[in-house]
Amino acid sequence: MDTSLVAALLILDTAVFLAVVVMHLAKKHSALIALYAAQSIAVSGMLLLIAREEHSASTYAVAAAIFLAKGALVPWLLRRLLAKGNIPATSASYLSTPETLFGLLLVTLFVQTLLVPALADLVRSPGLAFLALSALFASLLLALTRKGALAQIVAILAIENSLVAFVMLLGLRTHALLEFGIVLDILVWAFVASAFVGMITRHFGSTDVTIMKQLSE
Amino acid sequence: MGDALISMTNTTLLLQVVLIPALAPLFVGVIRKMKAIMQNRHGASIVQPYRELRKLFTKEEIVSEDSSFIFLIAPFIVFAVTLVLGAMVPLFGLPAPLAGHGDLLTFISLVALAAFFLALSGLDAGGAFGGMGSSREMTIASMTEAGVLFSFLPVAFLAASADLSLMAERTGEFTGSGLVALLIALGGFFIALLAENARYPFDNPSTHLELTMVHEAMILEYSGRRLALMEWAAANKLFLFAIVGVQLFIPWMPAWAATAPLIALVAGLKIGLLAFAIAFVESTIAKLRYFRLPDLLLSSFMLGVIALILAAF
Repeated sequence: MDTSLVAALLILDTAVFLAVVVMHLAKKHSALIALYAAQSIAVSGMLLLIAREEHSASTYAVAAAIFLAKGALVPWLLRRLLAKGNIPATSASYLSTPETLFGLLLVTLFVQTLLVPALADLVRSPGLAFLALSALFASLLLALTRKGALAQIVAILAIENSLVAFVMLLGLRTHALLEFGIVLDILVWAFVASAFVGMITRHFGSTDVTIMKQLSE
Repeated sequence: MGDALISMTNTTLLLQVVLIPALAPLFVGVIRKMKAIMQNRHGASIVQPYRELRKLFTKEEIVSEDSSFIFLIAPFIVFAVTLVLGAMVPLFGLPAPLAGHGDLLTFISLVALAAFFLALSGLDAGGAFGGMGSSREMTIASMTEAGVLFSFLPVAFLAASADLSLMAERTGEFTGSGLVALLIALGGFFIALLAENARYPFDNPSTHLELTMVHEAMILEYSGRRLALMEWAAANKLFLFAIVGVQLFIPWMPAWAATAPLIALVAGLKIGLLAFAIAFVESTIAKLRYFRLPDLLLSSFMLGVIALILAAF
C-alpha cells in the first residue's frame, strides 16, 4: 500500500474508532444511531479506497451496498423504531462515565500491548490494526455495558463494522457475492431485530434488560 | 546583557501584575455578554463587572463580631495569590516573569492555597451557609486538583519540563500521538477549569439560592471592599486559567504573528474562543446535582490519565 492510501485509511479507521468512543459517552438513542451511520459510512469509504487501488468493480459495488444498507437503511429502520415512541429517548449504562473511560483505557492498552505485537506478521500497518481492533473491543464493551435493547443492537452492529474494517485491513477478502450476502444478512438481521424489539416493547412495556430481569422473577 | 534581561523581566513582571487584574473583569463581562446573546437577551455592558467593583469599593463594610482575623485577611491573601499566579504564566510569547521560581506544582499549590483560605473565611464567620459552602468547595476541590494536575502532566511529560514557560514554548511542536494527547488533556483541563472557577455545571456564579450555592455561600458574609477583592480575585483566577489553557493547550500561532502586539492579538482571540466555549456550556447545560459532580470530575481525571498514557507511548 502506498503512503497516501495508508494515510487516508488511517483517517477513516480513526473515525471508526472515535465513533465507538463517542457512542460510549452518548446517552441518546438518536445519537447512537447517527454515530452508527457515520461509522458505516467510514467503513464503506475504506472499502472504496481499497476498490480504487485494486481497480475492482465488484469491490466498488460492495462499498456502495454497505453504504446503502448500513449507512442509510439500517439507521432508518432503527430511527423508525424510535419514532414509534415506545422506546425511551436515552439508554442507561451499567458504568458511570469515568468507569467507561477507564474500561476504554484498559481495552486499548490490551490491544496495544498484547494483540498488535502478536499480529505483527499478519497486519500491513500496526497503526491501522490497532485502531480497528480497539474499535472492535470497545464495541464489545458497549454491548456488555448498555442496558437497553436498542443500544445493544447498535453495539452489535458496531462490532460488525469494526470486524469488517479489521478484516479489510488484514487483506482477507472473499468473493464479492459472499460479501453481498453478508450485507444482506445484516439488513435482514436488522429487520428481524427491530421487529423483535417492537414486540418486546409492546408486550413488556420496556426494553431495559434490568426491568425485564425483574419480570422473570 | 544581564542587566538588560533583568530590566526586561522587571518590566514584564510589572506589566503582568497590572494587566491581568485589569483585564480579568472584562473577561467576565465578555462571558456574561456572550451568554446574554446566546439566551436571546440584551444583557449588561461588558464593563459592568468594573462598575460592580467600583460600587463595592465605595460601599460600607460590615464585619461579623464572631469572625476572627482570618476573615479579615483572607480576601487579601486570595487576591495576592492571584497576582502571584499572574506572574507565573507566560504571556506574549515571552517567558513568565517568575519562570524558574516555580513550576506547575507551585501553580496548583497556590491555587489550592487560595481555595483553602476562601473555605476558611467561609467557616470563620460561623454562618450556616458559609460552612455549607466551604464543605462543598473542599469536596469539589479535592477532586478538581487531580483533574488539573493530570491535565498538566501529559504536557509536562511531552515537553520534558514542569516549567510553565517551557511547556508553553514546546507544546506547539507536538505531532502525532503527542497532539492527540494534548487535545484529550485539553478536554480534562476544560472540565477542571469550570469546576475550579465555580462555573456551570458545577456551580451557578449568579445564584444565591441556598440549595445550589457553593462559591457564593463562602463569601456571603463579606461586604464592601473585602467582597470586591473576593469578586476580583475570582475574576483573576478565571482569566488566569483561560490564559494557561490557551498557552498550554492551544499553542499554535499563525506565521504572520511575529511581533508582540500581533501575538497578543492572536492570544486575545484564542482567549475569546475559550470565553465562547464557557458561555456556550453555561447556556446549554443545566447545573448538575451535587452527587453527580464526582462523575464529571473523575472523567476529567480519567481524560488526563488517558492523555498521560498516550504521551508515554
